Amino acid sequence: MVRVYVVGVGLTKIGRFFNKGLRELFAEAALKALDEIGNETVQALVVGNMTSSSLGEQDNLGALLADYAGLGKIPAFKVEAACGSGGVAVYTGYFLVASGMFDVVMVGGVEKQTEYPTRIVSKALAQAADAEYELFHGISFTGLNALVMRMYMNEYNVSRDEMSIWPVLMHKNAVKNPYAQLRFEVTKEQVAKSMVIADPIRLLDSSPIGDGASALILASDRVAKKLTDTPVEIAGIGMATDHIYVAYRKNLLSFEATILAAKKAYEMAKIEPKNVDVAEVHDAFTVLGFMNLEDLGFSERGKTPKLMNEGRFWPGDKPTVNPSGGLKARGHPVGATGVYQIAEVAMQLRGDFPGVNVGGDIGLAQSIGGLGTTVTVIILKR
Amino acid sequence: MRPTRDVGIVGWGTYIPKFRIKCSEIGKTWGFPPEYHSGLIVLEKTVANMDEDTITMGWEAAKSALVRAKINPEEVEAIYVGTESKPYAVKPSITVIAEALGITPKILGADLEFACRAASEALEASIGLISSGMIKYSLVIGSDTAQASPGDVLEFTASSGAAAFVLGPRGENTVAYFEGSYSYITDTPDFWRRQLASYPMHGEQFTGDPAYFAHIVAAAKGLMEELGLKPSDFDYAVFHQPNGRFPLKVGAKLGFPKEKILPGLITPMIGNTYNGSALIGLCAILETAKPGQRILLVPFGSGAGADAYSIIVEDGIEEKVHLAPTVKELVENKIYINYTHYAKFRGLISKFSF
Amino acid sequence: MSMKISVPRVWREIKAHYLLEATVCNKCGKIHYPPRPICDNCGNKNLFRRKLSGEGEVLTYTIQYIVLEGYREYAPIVFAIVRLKEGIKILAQLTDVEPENVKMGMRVKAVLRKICEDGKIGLIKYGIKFKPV
Repeated sequence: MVRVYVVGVGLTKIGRFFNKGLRELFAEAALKALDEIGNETVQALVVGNMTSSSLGEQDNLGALLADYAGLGKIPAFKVEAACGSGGVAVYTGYFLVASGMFDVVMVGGVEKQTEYPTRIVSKALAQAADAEYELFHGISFTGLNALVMRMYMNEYNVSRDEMSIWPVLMHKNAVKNPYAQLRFEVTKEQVAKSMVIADPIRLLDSSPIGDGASALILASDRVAKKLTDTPVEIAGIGMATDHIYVAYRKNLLSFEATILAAKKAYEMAKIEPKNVDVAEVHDAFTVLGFMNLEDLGFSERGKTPKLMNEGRFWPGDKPTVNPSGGLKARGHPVGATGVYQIAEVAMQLRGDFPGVNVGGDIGLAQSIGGLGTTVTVIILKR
Repeated sequence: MRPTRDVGIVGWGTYIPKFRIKCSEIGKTWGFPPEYHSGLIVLEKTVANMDEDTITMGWEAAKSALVRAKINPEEVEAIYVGTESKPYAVKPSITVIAEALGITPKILGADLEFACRAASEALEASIGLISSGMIKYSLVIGSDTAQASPGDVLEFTASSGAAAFVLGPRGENTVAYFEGSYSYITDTPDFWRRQLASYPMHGEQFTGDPAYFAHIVAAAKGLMEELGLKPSDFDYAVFHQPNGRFPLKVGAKLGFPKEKILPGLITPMIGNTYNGSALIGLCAILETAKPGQRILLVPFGSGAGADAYSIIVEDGIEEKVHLAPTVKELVENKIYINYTHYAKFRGLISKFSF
Repeated sequence: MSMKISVPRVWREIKAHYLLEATVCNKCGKIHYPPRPICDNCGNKNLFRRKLSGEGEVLTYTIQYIVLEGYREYAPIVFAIVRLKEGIKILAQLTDVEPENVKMGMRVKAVLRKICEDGKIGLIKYGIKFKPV
């Protein structure tokens, strides 16, 4: 198979942009990415997005965005895996290039979550769950995650205070990231006292609602060096799915899909968890941040909150986790997030990430759709 | 009326919601004189939860009745719900209940309306169906989430509850049988609700002598004459109980001492459950009666009509009492709420939907 | 008049939602809820239907204050994963219980309740919730 490189990236800031729609946001990110490769021709476009249909009345998104970004009448399509759409978009783009059929592919992610009041957006996001047996009962996505948070804290005897370290670290990292949505620090007290959304999940445990777009240019080894001096290779890639009805799974404190996807990615990249220098993981909620690190093999089950309180995973540690601020503070424009993560990790390895910059040789990005239902794990090497 | 073959009760069940509101709380809200409601002899009433209605309560009472009946539910061939608070004006309640009991599709039935005696009408129909041999078992449910205009005197008593009975041919699994029945119906407009009205209208004092008392007395006397019985032949008398006072008064008119009426008088603690009213009283009596005892049951429905039944208790009843929640247990399982929550649960106030 | 609840969707799932009807593999015995066409354990396509007991205990729960469009009158809603005595787990609301009284391990049983209504003139959706025993 052909080797695949990230040769250009483009990101928009994440926030509430009432003055920009899907097409405007996407074009902004796409044009930045094209700039990095000297406006070379892109041969195909894969877009990750979750709610263009339910909230934007827009299908046929691939064609629309290819047109708007001036990419021409190229093959273009949307892929969807709820909040993991971005990761799946990168996964798809990778194979378009790896197959040898395309040399230069754009992978984009874009999401508009501010078109309606929160309660309507929540219902659209809850479609990540089982429509007939979970959404049927009226549970929100936060509610589903709260079931896991309570179990995690109970099983491993973790206190509210210990859990609160995650948002504290995420916000601290985001302060320096110009693309981040929430660039202010929070204290553990503020986290624990913030408004309850679905007990025990509080407002400051949850990633914010926001708009954003990001784009990557993927290139084959044949053309990568012509387009950039700092290509970053996609060295390992894995994806897996699990039962969407969460109660049907045996173990609710671990995402089997993460473990399976990570195994594939580590094997392909010929590395182990301990080799990873920087990781951007999918912390839609506090509890997921800890569970992800455990599933990815970075820490022991149930011990992660304690470890993080002791300083593990902070900038400078190996791996440094979510230097961007993660979903919690950098933001989570759902379908775009997985693409943001790759862009951020690529920039870390290139040495030009404009926030907390830890550098390194090997980076990992993990993107999740639903409650551990669809997971992609992607490993980048300098 | 006597059927050619005797029909009896195979199982019975009750459902009483656990939320209660005190009459004093209602009186205070609307500025009634203190203890205005004490003349009604009702202390508090049940309030259905926001996710309950005639269908869900009827289902739960039916489940208890089937458990006590100890039959395969699929042997039930008829199902009736008597109610005046149907969730849909057009769409039957029995279909949802029947599906949720797993007894569809080979079944007959319908929702019946005749104010508070609709379920009683279903008892009569079932007796006919069973004794004719057309079916073996019938499930009769009386269930209501009674409405009353906020601030009206009816609000003190209009409550929610359900009772259910599995009827079958008198035999080794019946615990009581119907010795006879008598129905008495006239066009007497004492209480009504037009199709699109939220709350009923009533004739206040008119609901008494020309309606409740006239029809119950006529039905009871008609029954006793036909069967050659006197009040002293009965061990219990259960009447429709819109409040705690009327049943004692009509009992006295007929010659029944209050000791025979009190065991089946549940309204003072739960309010008037409309189609559940007399039938929940009957359930309470079945849970204390001894084999051989005779019960007079007289439901009444505004509009108006009354039915009188003579029911004789059989062997085997005591073993079935504790197979499902008893009226006493359900009455005692309660949580009080204030008028604000009551208004929310009853839909008197609702969140504005954009 | 917009219709928020789909008529066929509600109708075809009646047995699964009113009766907790599951599929059971007659080869390996695995119980599947929601029901499915093929056993995910052994690949057997010969499955039969069984109504679950509805009796179990609360494995985990949440008290959801921010509720979805269509369920707003019911806030706060308690959701739980209940482990039935057959061993299988079900997600559903808890009802007739104050949120502060919910405990992990609490024994509950299934009851038929209204799940939501499509306004004043649309369909009423019924289903199973669990209440304390």
